[in-house]
Amino acid sequence: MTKSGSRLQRKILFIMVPLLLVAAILLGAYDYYKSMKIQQAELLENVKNLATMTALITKGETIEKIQTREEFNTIFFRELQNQLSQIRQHNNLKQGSVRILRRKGMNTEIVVTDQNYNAIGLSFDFWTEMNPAFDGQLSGKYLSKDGRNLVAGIAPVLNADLTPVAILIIEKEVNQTYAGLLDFFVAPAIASVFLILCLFWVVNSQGRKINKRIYWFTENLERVKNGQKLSLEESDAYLNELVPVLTNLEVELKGYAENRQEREKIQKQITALLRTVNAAAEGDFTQKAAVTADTLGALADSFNLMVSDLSALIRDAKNSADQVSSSTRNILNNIEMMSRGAADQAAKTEDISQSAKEMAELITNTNQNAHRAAEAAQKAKTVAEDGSEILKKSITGMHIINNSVSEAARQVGILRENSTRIGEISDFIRELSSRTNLLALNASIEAARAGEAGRGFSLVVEEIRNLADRANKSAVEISDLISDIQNGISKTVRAIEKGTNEVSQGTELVDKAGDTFREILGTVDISTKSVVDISAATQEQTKFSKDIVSALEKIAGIAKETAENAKLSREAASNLEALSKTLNQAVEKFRLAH
Amino acid sequence: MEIAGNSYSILNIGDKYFGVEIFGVREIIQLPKFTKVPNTHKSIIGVFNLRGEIYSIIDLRVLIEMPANPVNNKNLVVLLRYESLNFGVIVDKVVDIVDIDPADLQQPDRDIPVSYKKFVSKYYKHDKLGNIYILNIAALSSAEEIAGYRYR
Repeated sequence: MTKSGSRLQRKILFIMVPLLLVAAILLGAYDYYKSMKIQQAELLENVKNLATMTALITKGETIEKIQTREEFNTIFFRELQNQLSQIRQHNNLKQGSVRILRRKGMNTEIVVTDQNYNAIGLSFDFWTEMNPAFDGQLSGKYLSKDGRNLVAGIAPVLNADLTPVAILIIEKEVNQTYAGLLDFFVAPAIASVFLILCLFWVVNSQGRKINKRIYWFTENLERVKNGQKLSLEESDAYLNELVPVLTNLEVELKGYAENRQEREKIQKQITALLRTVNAAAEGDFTQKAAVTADTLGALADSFNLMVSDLSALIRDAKNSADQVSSSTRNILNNIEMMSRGAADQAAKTEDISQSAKEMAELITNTNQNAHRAAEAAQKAKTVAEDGSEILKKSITGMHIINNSVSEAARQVGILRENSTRIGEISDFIRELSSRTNLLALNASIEAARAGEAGRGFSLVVEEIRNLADRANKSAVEISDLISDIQNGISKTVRAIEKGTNEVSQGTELVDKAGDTFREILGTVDISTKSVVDISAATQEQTKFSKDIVSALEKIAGIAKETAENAKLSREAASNLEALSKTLNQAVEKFRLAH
Repeated sequence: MEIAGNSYSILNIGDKYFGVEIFGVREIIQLPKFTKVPNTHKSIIGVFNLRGEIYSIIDLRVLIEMPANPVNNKNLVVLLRYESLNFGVIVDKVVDIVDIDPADLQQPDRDIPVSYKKFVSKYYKHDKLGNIYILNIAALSSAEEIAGYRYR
């Protein structure tokens, strides 16, 4: 019976254990693959957020245009590089890499990397997964490099007008996973414990069966010894039972005697092994099964090996869980920062947008003012032309005045000659009157000498003297008048001369005014043209400011999206944190040998 | 004007007035072109010819020691005749011809300047013109300054 029991044990050991192990490994591998997929998806989500941030940092336009390596060594690219290394630190990418690539012919070219400046400008492999990123879509790739398993997230780097100009690649090593590892190692452990418990039950039940039979024989034997008679049927059955038993017993006892010591040893070994297995089943991996040269020893050795492997794996799992926990904390911090940054950005963008709108209004005002100025300039031109026309007329008028003044001067000259003649005539009259007076005087002397006869004559002479006196007085008056007239004429002549001078000066001034008006017309033309130019420029400005406003609105939209994404990322990271806590709790149950 | 036996022609020289008996006056003329005569008394300005008779022109200012005054063409010449002697006295104006009552004529007294006394016989006080000194033609014509050049 014991022989057949140990055979069964062996069967179970050699067939079931490998089968269970293979099944467990397959299950673990499936979970590992699944977790890798989940991780890839999470990474892609992170990369998406990072890529959005990077697009905002790069602001695009320079990445396309840069030609030489010296151009990469600018402050802008240094900052970008710092940004990439921050991305690396925050995501705990110890083995991975962060780089920005751009298209170069059939290949790609490294534009910025956070680690090795010498790598800038070098060619990079072209993956078909890059195509969607260059078209502005997110993608991912699973790859193995130098025996390491990596997940690569590929995101587009956007220009200011949201056209993709380059791509951002973030590589992360996969064996930092945890869920797969948990399933991979806990499942075979549980299976093995179950298997060992089965084995224990089988051995135990066989032993109890043997004991029962021995008890039955001993009881009947006691009854016979005590003089009790067994019934026929009882004794027959007893004998029937006993004969083969005894036969067997003989053989067994023989063997038992031979193997008694050995069996006791085996019994001890099994007890020790079971204690160890029980401890392991309770999570205590510090105890080790004693290894002997027999079959049980081989089993113990295998068990020890398994336990030590399990210990190592659980330690790894614990480490990984710790790493995951710290990474999750970092990610949460990053997300917090990102969220705050996005909120700030949204608020500032709102401010800028407001300012840009105000600027647009100002520009519109300027445009209206420019229109008004153009109209005013047109009016000024018309007025200046009218003024020029009036001035031409006044020049003609001045010439006419000049001619009139010359004519007046000529007439006054004639008047002066005439008055001079009148003066001569009046002098002559005075001379005449003086002579007449003298003649009258002589005549009155003659009359006086004639005595009584000249009396009548003396009266006539007296009258003649009176007339001559009056004529003389009139002539004197005329002389005075003429001299007055001549004074007046002299004054008139002087006035006319002055007038002539003033007229010629006036003509000159009017000519100058004409020149000035022509200059004004030229200047007004120029200013009209300038105002028209200003008007056109402000119209363009209006268009540009509208573009700026719409671009700002787009940026605000992106910031809003970033904030939403940050929220999603926070939820994902919280889930991750919860998972890592669960994992830690699961792993804490095990006590490991050091 | 009253016609009487004693009509006088009133002459004006400077600020003084002189009277000449009208019968002694031949004619009054404007200052004619005259010829200066050398080696004569300085009171004789020159001689001239009027209608064939020669007259000498006497400056009374020199004779009666009045302030000298250069002659000009506004001066008049009163032609006088005494016996056969013709001469002219240069005057500034001939004011009028007046009749004077001989009773109103006064003898020269000490109010008359000494230099006048040789040629003034009497004087007459006029209402407006003041003293009118009546010239003594005979004394003038016989004056040694003039008499020496008498023609005959």
